[in-house]
Amino acid sequence: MPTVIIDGIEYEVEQGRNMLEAVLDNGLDLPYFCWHPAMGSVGACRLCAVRLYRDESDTQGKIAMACMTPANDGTRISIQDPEATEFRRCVVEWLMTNHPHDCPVCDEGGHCHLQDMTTMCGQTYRRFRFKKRTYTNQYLGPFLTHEMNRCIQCYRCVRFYRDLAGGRDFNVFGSRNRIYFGRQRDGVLESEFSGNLAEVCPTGVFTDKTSARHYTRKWDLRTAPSVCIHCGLGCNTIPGSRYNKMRRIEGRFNGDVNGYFLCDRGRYGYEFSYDTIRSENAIDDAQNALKEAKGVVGIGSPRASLESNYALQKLVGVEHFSAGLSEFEQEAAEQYLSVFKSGTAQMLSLAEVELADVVVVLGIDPTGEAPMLDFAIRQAMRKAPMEVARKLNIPDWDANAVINALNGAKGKLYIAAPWSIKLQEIATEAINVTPANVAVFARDISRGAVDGLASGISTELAKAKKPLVVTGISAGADTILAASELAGSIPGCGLFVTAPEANTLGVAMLGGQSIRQAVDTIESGQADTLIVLENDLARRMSSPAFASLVENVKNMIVLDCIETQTTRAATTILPVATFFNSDGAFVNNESRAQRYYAVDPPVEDIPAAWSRIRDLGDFTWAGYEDILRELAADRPEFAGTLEAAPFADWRSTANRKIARETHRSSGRTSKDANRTMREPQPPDDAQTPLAFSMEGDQNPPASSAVIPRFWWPGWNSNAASNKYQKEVGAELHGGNPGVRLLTASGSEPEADRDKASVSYPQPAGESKEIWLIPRPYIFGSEELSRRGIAIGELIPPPEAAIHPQSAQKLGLTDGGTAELDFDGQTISLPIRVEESVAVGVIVVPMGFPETYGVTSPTVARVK
Amino acid sequence: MTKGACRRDFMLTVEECAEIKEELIHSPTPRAACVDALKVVQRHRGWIDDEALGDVAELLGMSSAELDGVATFYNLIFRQPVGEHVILVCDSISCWLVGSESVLSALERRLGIKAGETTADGKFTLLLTVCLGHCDIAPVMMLDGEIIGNLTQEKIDDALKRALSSPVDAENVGEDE
Amino acid sequence: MIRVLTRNISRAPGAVWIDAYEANGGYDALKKAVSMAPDDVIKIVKDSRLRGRGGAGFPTGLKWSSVLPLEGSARPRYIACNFDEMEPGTFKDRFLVDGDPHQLVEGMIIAGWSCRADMGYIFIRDEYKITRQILKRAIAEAENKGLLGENILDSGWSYRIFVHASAGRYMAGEETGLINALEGRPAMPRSKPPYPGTSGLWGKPTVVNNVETLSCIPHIVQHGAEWFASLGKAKDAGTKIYGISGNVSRPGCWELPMGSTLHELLDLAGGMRDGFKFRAALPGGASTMFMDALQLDIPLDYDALKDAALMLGTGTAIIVDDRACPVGLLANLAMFYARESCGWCTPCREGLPWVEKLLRAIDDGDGRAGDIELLLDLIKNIGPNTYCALAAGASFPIESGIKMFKSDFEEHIAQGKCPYR
Ligand SMILES: Cc1cc2nc3c(=O)[nH]c(=O)nc-3n(C[C@H](O)[C@H](O)[C@H](O)COP(=O)(O)O)c2cc1C
Ligand code: SF4
Ligand code: FES
Repeated sequence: MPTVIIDGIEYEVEQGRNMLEAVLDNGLDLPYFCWHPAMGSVGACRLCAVRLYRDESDTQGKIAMACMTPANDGTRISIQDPEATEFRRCVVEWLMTNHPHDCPVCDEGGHCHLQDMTTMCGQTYRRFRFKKRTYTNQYLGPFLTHEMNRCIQCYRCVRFYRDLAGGRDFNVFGSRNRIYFGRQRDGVLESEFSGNLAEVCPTGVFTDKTSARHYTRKWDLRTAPSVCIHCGLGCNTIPGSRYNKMRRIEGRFNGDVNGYFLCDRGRYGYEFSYDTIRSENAIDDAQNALKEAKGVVGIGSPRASLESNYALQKLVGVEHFSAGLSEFEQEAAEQYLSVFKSGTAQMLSLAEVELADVVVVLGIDPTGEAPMLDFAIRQAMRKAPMEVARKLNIPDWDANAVINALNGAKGKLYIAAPWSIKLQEIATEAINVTPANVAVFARDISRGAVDGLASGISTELAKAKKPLVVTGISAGADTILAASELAGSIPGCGLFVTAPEANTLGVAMLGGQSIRQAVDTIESGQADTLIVLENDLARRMSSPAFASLVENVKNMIVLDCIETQTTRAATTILPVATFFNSDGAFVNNESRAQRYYAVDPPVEDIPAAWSRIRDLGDFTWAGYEDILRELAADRPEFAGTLEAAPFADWRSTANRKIARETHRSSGRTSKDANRTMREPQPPDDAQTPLAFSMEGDQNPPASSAVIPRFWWPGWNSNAASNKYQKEVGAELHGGNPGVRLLTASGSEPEADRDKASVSYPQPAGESKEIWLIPRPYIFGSEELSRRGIAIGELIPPPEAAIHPQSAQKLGLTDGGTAELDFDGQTISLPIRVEESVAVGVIVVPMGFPETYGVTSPTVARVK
Repeated sequence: MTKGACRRDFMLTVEECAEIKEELIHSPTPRAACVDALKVVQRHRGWIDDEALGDVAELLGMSSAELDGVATFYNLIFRQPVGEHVILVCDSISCWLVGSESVLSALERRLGIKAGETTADGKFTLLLTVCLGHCDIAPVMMLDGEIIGNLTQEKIDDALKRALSSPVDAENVGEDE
Repeated sequence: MIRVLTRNISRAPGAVWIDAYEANGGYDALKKAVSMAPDDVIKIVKDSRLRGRGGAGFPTGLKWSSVLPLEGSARPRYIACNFDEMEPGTFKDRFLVDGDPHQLVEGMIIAGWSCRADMGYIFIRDEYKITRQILKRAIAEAENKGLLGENILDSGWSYRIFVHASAGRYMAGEETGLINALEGRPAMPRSKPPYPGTSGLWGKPTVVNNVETLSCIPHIVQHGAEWFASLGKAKDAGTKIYGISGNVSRPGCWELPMGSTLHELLDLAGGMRDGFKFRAALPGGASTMFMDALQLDIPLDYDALKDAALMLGTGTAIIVDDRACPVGLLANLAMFYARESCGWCTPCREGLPWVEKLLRAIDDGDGRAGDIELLLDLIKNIGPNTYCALAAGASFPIESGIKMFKSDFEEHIAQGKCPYR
């Protein structure tokens, strides 16, 4: 480890850091703008100036940018040097010549990096006596507000958007002091990661537009550590609320999962919480129904917490419990679990995906299904040729020098999917084939095809330093098996398998029947009562099957927070707390158990689902933790869930709970002044080590899993996260949250070849038959987020896409209507004929009301 | 040239497309030809409007945001309409020392416009520019690509008259050959 | 008068084309060079003590020898000739190429051979339209004679030269800005290290040299390092194209031994124009410090000027006369730099416009007490701390100007108006 000298004191730093990182790694302060831990240095803002000395004997030194200075052994700088200090103040003063003095009306105020740095640099007095520059702003879509006058030209936005996220519709225009960051013309930003602009922008140019509808300062937000509920990756989030209403979501750093960033579905999906059901408390009806029931079946849910699902399993018994997955998903999930346990391939975390150099994507669409995986693959492809720069002695953090040296070189990305997925724009090669042929293709690669693309890929995989195969539960059991065989056949090859929903893997691990089997139990008369936990069955079975179920079931008790086809068909509805009003655990796609905490207490008489279930049965659980403890005792593979985060009795080193509100939280007594003049007692939280009030510890908790916000003296913005990390940009103090539940046992993966036919019902070769495939869209396919106001604006109109060749064969024309018969139901959609779809398939949006019933690849007849 | 054959829906003319493709042939990367491609359009139209920018971007495989980032950086790419004749008056130090300010006011008086404006009849646009590299014949201006130095009142009048009577020499304004 | 770089420059018809050039010994140096090992050519250039004429005076031989070795280096490798010449007051490169384009072409070919390059680019400012046509024809002539293109002079080495016209931006003349411009990007600078010799155009090893620098090369190769070194009058080697502009009788360029004085230059220019008196000069383009009448005999070379806290820059002097308002003059300079700032780094982008506004305010009679100190304070912080050398180039004349013309500033502020108007 190199030793550097900062203001005369020696510090150790990791190899390969720059001096700004060295300073921050050691807990010292040095202001900066353009550097970002995930984006490296470019030396543009000049704020991190220090005095750099050649050696011990050099008393003169020179001003240098810490972020552009390698932290070599013996590097000697002074932060406190008067000239450097004065220069840093000047930099802020220069920026302030044009920055508006509009903090009171600026959405960034209070968590603004520019405010922090201005204070840190001691810039207080304005010497500039001329007019400020002004710009016009742009409409950038429903997610972000654009206020260019506040720009300090740090270039972070364009670097994130273009260099990291791969977006091409956003840039920097003009020159000198008229530099402009935006789009060529007004319009919706195309990148799925645009919301991160609000976080990387150190001032108020890009702010969260959804939050502006009901704006709240950071210090007035009630926040809690949480996990994203909108896909299976389990990105860590910090939701913020005020007056019991969700205001915004920001990323919560987790070095093993999402790092600093979130996708736009994860950031803006929270607006579903405005659209929840309220109804009479019908718990008595439900209890009576259960008393009279001749057999009860319980259907769990991949979007419900582990403890709610387990509670339901306990209530109805394992044999009558369904995980709530469609048959296709259930089978694929089981296949995935068996592959995981077998240890055939090394299962990677999302963060590890970024280290891969050759990636093969099989049968899934990361951008639509698990968007941060798209982002991770982009980072992998960007960093893969880094060796070229290293050979030229360019450090990894020297961002623009790296880009210039690599000259557009990328890692190798191969894709086989039924339609052109967005990642194809950076792919080395891609083929679009039917789902069954994706698996065939994977086997061609692993079994050493003699020529063609498959053979090329197998050569590249063999040469790779960090090869990786990516697939997902939505690709089907057979593709998962084929993918694992492929990964297993290549030494050191990683495997990454996506799960469609936040807790798909959790429920799959709990085990149980598929929905189909559960329904059979009812239809065969073995049971007459159904309890559905936070699950819209209409999305997971064909419409006739759903209708028949509704008809055959005597009592259908539905627990949910949103109105769905299923709640509409229920005989009894038990409203339950939303995700943001309950605590729990999810198991993400790599079997990482992560705990999330309620931002707000449950609203009056709407408790968390698990407690509803407790009330339906004969249980003594005091809280959700009791359920988790019981689960862990019952099923040892869930033991890690207990370690994933501290329990309710945990206290900070100061022996206090963690405050969800800041001690600057204003207006506690006035919040309810329209109703009462008494200062109400803050809501109690017996369930967790956090308090719903400002009472409690404000310091960073020793356990990284209960960080409710990043905040540090002098660092009000999210950049405060650097104080929570061992090395800036790396692991959190106390380790990154989450515990991986599954380990490889070395058993053979169960491979039931016959199942392949179940996964992929082959068209019978009849001329009117075609594969019907649901395609996940980032906006519109996921059940909860599609209810959001902002996301709702971006849901594409539903269409059926088909290759010209297939269209011709079936007599379909562009702009016409496709009537598709499958599983006894018919859907009709406008047709779009395009080359980007595999021959022999017709692709429709997944999870749209127009496509309910299309739960997995199936065979349809064209009318 | 497979990518971006001159498409029917392009607002670029066939000539413009052909000339841009010619630039592409000699260019190591399509992006490296982007300034030349913009100059092709400017030679034909005097300036680059949004539609033309979009077409050029398409021909080069760039996004319009990428291309506009380049177009708006450089002084001699015009993203706003200009008159038939463009006058660039040097306002840098050597010209200033020998009277560029009076050259400018003479031009402003003659044309009835201020620097940065275009005459109402669309004939002339008057712009200020940095050092034209002809300080030995300061004060200097450039009219339709032609350098005119040692400017006096008569020389200015003469140049304006000549411009009005002769059509713009596209060769001179833009690329050679 | 010695004529090395200008020896072929004449008004004779056809003097610029290849026949005339070859008749006068042109391309002999190239023939000599390709018969030598590239490293030996570099050694001659090194020994000649040639320093870059683009403004910074970096030793050319050193630059060439620090290019990444061919073995293991990415290809193609490039020579880029910097013919942007947008420094106010500078017009020497145009003068050289208009008069003798083959001298530059030959210099570029030898540079290509020495640095094992595959391709050369001449990056020329757009306004030099006639010059560009001359260059293109000269390149075509050289290609026709097998001096450029495939298997040059049977050496087995191939090399081509392309001319690329800029779209106008002072920053495109900064060597890394030039590289970005050639790639079709905004001419923002790149960080150094890595130097272009390691990672330049498209990430490949690239040498950027000024027109005049490259034009010296054939003569050095032909006549030897010692000969070239001996041409300088003072410490520095070779001859220099000096220029002069402002209110002098005959503005223009002259070739003189390196280390000649401004005195001599002024004489060649026929002295001050009638009615004007010499007050001060920027000796080498706009980005150098002011010198006054007492400094007219300092040799105009890198070291002598450096010793006097001055700079040679491009060697084209701008003469300030007694009738020019120094405040207006500095405001004009500041406007140039503020306008041509690329916008990448804060001090330059935000600081220079402030400096310009202050200077304008003082010039317009709106100066306030404390403005001079504020200006000096701003300049002190902007100058040395920017990403590239543009802002430093702005700070040299402005800082030295404020100091030199302080009484004018005080008068402006005291009177609340410009005494020169
Ligand atoms: C803002 C700026 C503009 C420059 N413009 C030019 C130029 O127009 N021509 C030139 O030769 N060098 C120019 N230079 C210097 C170049 O960066 C570089 O040092 C030079 O081209 C190297 O060539 P040389 O070593 O032969 O002098 C400029 C430098 C800066 C900072
Ligand atoms: S000093 Fe900074 S802003 Fe100015 S030209 Fe150089 S990099 Fe650009
Ligand atoms: S953080 Fe170092 S220059 Fe911006």
